[in-house]
Amino acid sequence: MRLPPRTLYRLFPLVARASRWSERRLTPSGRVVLGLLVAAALFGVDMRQTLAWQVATLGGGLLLASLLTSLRWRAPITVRRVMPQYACEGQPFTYFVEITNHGKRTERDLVLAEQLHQPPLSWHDFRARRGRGRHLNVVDRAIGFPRWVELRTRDRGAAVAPRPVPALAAGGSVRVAVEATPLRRGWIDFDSIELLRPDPLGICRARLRLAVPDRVLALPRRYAVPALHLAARRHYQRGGVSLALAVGDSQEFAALRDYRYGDPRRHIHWRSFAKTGKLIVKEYQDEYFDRHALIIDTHIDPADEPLFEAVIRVAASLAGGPRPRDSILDLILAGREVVELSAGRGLADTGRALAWLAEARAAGAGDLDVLTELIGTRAGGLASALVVLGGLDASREALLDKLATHGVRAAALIVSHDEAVQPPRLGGGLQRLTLRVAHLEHDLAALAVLP
Amino acid sequence: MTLAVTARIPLPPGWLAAALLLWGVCADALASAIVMALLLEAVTFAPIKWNTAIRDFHRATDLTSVLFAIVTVVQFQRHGVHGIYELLRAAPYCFFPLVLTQRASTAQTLPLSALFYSLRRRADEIRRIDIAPAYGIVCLLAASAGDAHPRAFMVACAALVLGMLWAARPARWQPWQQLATLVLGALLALSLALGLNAARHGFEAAFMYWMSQHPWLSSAPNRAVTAIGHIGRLKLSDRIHVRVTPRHEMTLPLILQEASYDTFHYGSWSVQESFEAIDQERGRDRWIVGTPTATPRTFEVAFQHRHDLTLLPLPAGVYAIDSPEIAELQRNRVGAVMGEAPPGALHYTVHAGPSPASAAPPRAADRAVPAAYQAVIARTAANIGLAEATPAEAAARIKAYFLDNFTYSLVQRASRGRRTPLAHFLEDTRRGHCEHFATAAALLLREAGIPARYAVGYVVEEYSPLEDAYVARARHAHAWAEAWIDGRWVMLDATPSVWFGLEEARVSRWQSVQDVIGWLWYRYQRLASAEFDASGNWLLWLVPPLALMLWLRLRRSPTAVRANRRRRAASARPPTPLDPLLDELAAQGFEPRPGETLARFFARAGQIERNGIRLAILLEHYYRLRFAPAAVDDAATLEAAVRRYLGRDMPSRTAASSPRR
Repeated sequence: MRLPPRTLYRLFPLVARASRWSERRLTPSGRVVLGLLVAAALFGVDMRQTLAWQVATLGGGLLLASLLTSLRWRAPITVRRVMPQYACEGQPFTYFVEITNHGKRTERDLVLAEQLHQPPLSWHDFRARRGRGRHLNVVDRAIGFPRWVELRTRDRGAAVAPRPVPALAAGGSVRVAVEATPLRRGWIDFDSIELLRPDPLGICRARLRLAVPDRVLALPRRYAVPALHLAARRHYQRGGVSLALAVGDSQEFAALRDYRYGDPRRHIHWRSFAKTGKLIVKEYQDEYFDRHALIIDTHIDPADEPLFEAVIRVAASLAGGPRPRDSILDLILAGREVVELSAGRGLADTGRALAWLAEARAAGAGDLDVLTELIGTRAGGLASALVVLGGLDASREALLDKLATHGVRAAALIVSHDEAVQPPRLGGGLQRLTLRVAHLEHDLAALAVLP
Repeated sequence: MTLAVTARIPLPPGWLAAALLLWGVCADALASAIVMALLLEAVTFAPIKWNTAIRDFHRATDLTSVLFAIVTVVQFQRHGVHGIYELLRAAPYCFFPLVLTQRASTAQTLPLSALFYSLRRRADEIRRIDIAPAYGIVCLLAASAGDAHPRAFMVACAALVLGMLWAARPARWQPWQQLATLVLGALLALSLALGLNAARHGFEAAFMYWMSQHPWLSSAPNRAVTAIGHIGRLKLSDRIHVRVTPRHEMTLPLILQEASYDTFHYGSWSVQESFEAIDQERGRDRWIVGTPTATPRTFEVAFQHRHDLTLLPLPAGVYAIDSPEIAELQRNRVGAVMGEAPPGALHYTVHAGPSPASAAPPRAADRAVPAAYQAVIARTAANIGLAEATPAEAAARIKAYFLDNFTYSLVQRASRGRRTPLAHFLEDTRRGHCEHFATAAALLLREAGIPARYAVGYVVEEYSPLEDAYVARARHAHAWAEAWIDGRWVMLDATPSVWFGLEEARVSRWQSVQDVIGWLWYRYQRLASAEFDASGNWLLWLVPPLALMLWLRLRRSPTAVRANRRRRAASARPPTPLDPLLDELAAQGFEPRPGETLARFFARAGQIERNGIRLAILLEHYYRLRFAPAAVDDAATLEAAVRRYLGRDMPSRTAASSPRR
């Protein structure tokens, strides 16, 4: 990856700020006037050759007058957002902004623009992170500005186009639907709302900034996954009745026994109590159901965003994809520490699992030894395991071996930048399927057989 | 696939045509501008529009790019650096295919990928842009490069810009507020214009003063900067500067003189003489610069030059110059002739007599030896023994002195210390190139009491079979002294005559290749100038039949669509209670797309609820009214509700029965 000189990098924020200023603070006509001013100033340098300098002064005069009349604007207006709880990466969602005019005059020609929280992008991060980049031409790649803009926009989290606000009568209120498109997963922070008012010439816009913090969680992008035929093998589950009520075999009465401290009161067999005068409780057969694990390896270099995002997308597609209802899915995120979440009927729903994945962070290089140890204690209850990896090494092989040793049918889904690998196909025994980052959708759709 | 249209600016009807006409008037292209404006307006209001595919837009852009590239090459080749302004003047021609394609398309916008090649590979995103305002700007700037009257231009320009702003003016302001802001803007623009003008005059005065303090920075016709102080090898190119085709037999070498100078100062020769225009002979492209003689020699000369004003290399005894390419010819008192012609290959015919044309007699400057050189010149003159010699003898002795004691060399190696380069040449190294010899000879002649000058030009001795002409290259540029002997200026070339052979010996191996390229370029320049102008007129007759053929071809194209059918259908539709709402949305820039239902359209417009009334309820009532009129509410109720929604009506009895939320 070619990098621009650091001096050039220091100019990026200035250029971006100027561009943002012209987008927000100038109307479309204003941008034409600014374009006229700049072009005329360039061609008018030699005042003997052209009259372009006159055009430049005209544009400059109009722009200055408009700027002067747009310096300050105060209006008794309040706004309120009505946001959904979740959005989905890449999927436009609509929320509403309720605008109330407490003033005595009708407000017309307003434009509503969102101000999203912008995390800083350091030189180090800029150097380390990869952009999409493949559509850029040589010059853009060498200068690096488009990549910088892309990274900043992605950090901001969403693209929200400014919206015109209908006439806002004195004392009245309007509800405007705003469409936003999340550009990444995770929390998207909305800092404030800007109301923009045109000046009398319609060149510049005055700004009224209203701080209305809000946030929405963008779930990871998912792709269609065919119904997975996961290995069915019921195991005794220590979750017992409370889980089995919803999943697996429903409760079966086994016997009566004496009450022990801690037994639920609703299990007391009152008839026996009446007969014997001591507390007798009903004992139920311990329950059996399918339990599958979705293990996600987060030990991926944070700079390699495309790879980590692909891993999360694969995990999200599998977690949210179709699977037998009669099963529990344990989501295990193996990073610096192992965290897990069980999802299934009666437990966390798919949305919860996706929300969890939405917030996952890359842990950097590392091994899966802790997880391999942990899996030894858990493998007895597992029917199958899907392991999503960003690469394969000895530590990952050990995990897969351990699963195999414990009789857990496991499939490793290895996400790779390598374009040359074959799309997934059926393998025998322990399956290792490679998914290509650039063709994730296609490769996931081709996942025909799994453990 | 995302589809986004940048906000379109509502231009007033005929705005682009007006911009084109302004350009036509200012840039002397009125006929073209009228045709282009009519075409643009005809296409705008034509009943047919073309369902132009994205790749067709790409083709239109490519055509524009090719046109622009051709015009750029031609203008820069013809006008040098000033080609930028000629390019600006011609820019409306170049971008016209693009704006015409946009206007003729059903989309009325261009895909951004048409303008940015890198976007063409991205099929997932189509952003569109309206280039009409940008084209208007191009027309305005092109007009500014014309010969318009400044005030009239400013007024027309302001009218166009304000016309554009008027069409998109915000409705929230009263007319007096807009007028006040406009007056403020006009005052600021006026102040800026006056300030710029004053600054320009100040800057120009300061620049001229600075230039006068640093004369070596200028390459004015009345100054020649020599390479006398240059250390190292003087590199001169093999590029051909002059091509001479004699009409009669020619004696070689032919000396073509460009200019003479009388004042030497720190390596720079100059002359304080102004140029005066020479009248062209009536009805002919001929300038008389001397007295015709009985036995004239005639030469065809082609001279490569880079500036509009250039000194012409001319043989001795020239009395007439013929050229249709020269706009104006000027001459100074010391015989230099300067022509005004577009940069490139200037072609002219020279008529010269056998003897040098009479030039003005010497003045004081032709006798002065600069103080810094007096000592070394006096010592050298004493060495040569010029004190008691006659002018002719002195000239011969100087020439013999240099021939016997000096060597021709383009390399100056030794360190000079505090001595002047000329003293170093005369007393230390005794090696130098023609500028050393010519300067030293001129000053020595002056020391001997003979008025002398320094002259520059070309020595033509090489014949090029490729071009069937005699050529002089950059390295054939030469300098010599002129001495006033027996009442006339006589050429004294003190440079040892081996110099031409030494130069030839250092010829680059690539010279022949370079010559072929140079010759092709020269032929192209000739083709692009006079010959092209002469043959261009009859081509115009091809335009009407070609345009007719194009129109017939496009009209039958499968992509042609009767564009205003929808508009007619819309105007024939009976008015509905929702019309005020649709009008207001249209004023905000929202128009229903073809085939878009009202429900979808309102959802896109994003206006859910206003003044306590939800849009969905209005829409529901409208649908009921339209599709089941017998069943429910009357139109008046809906109208009242729409008025309330728009905030145009206070709640009244009628409105009280408006739909509940």
